[in-house]
Amino acid sequence: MVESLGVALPNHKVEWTVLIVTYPFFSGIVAGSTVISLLVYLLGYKNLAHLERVGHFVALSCLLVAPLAPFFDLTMPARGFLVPFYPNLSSPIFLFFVFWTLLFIVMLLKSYFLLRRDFIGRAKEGGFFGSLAGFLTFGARDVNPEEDDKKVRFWALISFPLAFAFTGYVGFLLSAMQAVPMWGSHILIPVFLVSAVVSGIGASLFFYLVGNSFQEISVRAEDLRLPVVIMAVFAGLDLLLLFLEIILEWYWNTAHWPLLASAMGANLLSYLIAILALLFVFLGGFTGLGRSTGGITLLSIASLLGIYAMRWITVIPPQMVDKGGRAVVSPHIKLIGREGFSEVIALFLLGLFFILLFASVAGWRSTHHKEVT
Amino acid sequence: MKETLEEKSTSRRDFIRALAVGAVATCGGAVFETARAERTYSPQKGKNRFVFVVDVRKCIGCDACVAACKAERNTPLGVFNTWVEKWEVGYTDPATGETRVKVLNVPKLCNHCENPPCVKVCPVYATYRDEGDGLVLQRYERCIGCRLCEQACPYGVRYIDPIMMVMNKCTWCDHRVRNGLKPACVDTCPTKAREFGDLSNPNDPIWELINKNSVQVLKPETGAKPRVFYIGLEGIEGIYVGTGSDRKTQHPPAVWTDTATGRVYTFNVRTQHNKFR
Repeated sequence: MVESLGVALPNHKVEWTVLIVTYPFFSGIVAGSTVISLLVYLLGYKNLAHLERVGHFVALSCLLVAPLAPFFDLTMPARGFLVPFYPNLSSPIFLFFVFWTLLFIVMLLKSYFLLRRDFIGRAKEGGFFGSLAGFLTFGARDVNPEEDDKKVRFWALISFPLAFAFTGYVGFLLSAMQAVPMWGSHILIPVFLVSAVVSGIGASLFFYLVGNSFQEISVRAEDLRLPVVIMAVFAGLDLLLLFLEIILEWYWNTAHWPLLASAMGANLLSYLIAILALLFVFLGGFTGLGRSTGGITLLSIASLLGIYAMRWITVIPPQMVDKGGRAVVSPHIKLIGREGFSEVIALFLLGLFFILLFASVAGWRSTHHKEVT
Repeated sequence: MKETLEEKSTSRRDFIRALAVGAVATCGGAVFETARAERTYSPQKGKNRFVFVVDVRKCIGCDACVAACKAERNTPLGVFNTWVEKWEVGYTDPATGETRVKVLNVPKLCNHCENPPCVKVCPVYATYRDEGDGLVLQRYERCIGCRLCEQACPYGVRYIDPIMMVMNKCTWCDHRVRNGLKPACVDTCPTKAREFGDLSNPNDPIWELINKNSVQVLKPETGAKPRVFYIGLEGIEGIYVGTGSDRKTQHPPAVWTDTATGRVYTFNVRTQHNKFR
């Protein structure tokens, strides 16, 4: 990291660091997972129903964890609850509350109709998770899976645009900050939407394959061909957008380009990870790697790494450029403490806990799902 | 008996529905009413139209204003409501060695914009613009510390107060100016490089200063409509460092060559307070 190349304005500091990098990562996974729902419920790829179920657990977990990242980033987190009580409609943060709340309600409704047939069966088994499942049936004792599937389909189709609006808003939030170079760019919203597809499918595939491997359930790689190809195509598109973003800044040689280039140089490792990982996913998706479960697991890990690095290079380097236009300031990120890596690790562990909890209560695979082949 | 049960069931459902509708209406109404009241709420709706004028030709860079501000606002170490930058502007002709360089002291402070980006992005109206006198102020007790305002401000004047842990900024000494005094930095300036006035008063001397001089604002392209007017920056503000130059020579001094005339231009800016960072 560079310390400074010139003299910064006295109040300049890289304010948003790892937590704000992590937040769009989680929101992107939520949106990307709904792509698989679309494949199952709109296009009729019923062989992906098991993957969609895991993707739904992942999406719901990330949806619960995502708001905690900006919440912990507040210097006064206890006042975070004031936002709905004093809403400023012109603030991008207000949109967050609207989209998050709507998406949460829709995802809960989808969860209920998707899982209640399993809750009923699970409740009969007794025990802690059985009691929890019994409570979550909300009194339903006998359901028609076909009727429920129609309802799941309805809510899945609604969740798709809402989830993308939710993650697209993060791009909007950053692009609304016209004073920060590179953020005030129209390309930022497409970047967030495209990378959401890559990370969402990547996360769903990763948990699906790892979870099945733990449970010793065999998976046919051919069944996963379509999501892998979609992930690869969007990884290529993401790379293209990343290059466009950089090349446009360089080509127009904007006032802040020299400093931005220095800030990018200071984050070269993140750029390399993003480019190489996305290239690996793009090429791997069309080769033999995308046709074996081991290869798909590798691709899914690479997609998550690549997209996290993408979030990093979107959030950190532009903030390093001083608003006086004469300096680059390095971020100071702690390992332990407020806005440190420890909080990010805690959020990831919490997300993992939620996935395990959902899988434990509802079951890793549905035994009643009519669409499963 | 069956009918009675059905009636009861319907009645219970209706009751729950009414309860839900009532709860939503009450909560929604309370939220929107609060929001509406808060949007229009303003601690003071004065009739003054305050403006700030900085004459960089007079500034000697003594930093008395910075010290006065620190004392008046009890600003913590490491953050500043105002500061003085040193700008070096000019050129050196490589062929003739002719050098024309001007060094300016440029005081910076909150511009209390007409269209403040910091107010637009604040999620809870902690930052607000007084509809009366146009001051952009902060409700410290409401700020959640999201720092959107800091990111949105094109002038880099907002900061997290390390003591209160909420956003803070230059207020143009609202506690003084609303009681007929001038901001501490203006009162302290030994050369009268800083002037403060009220445009709503046609007899205010600030009118003469603005009318008789060419005034500029910083970063007019942002559309924020700043209200700190500078005298003596004509032809300087708006020069973008880095245009057509080699990045290796940028930091500092920024140097670029005019290919038409062969003149080498420099534009070097230093702040005096960097050592405190």
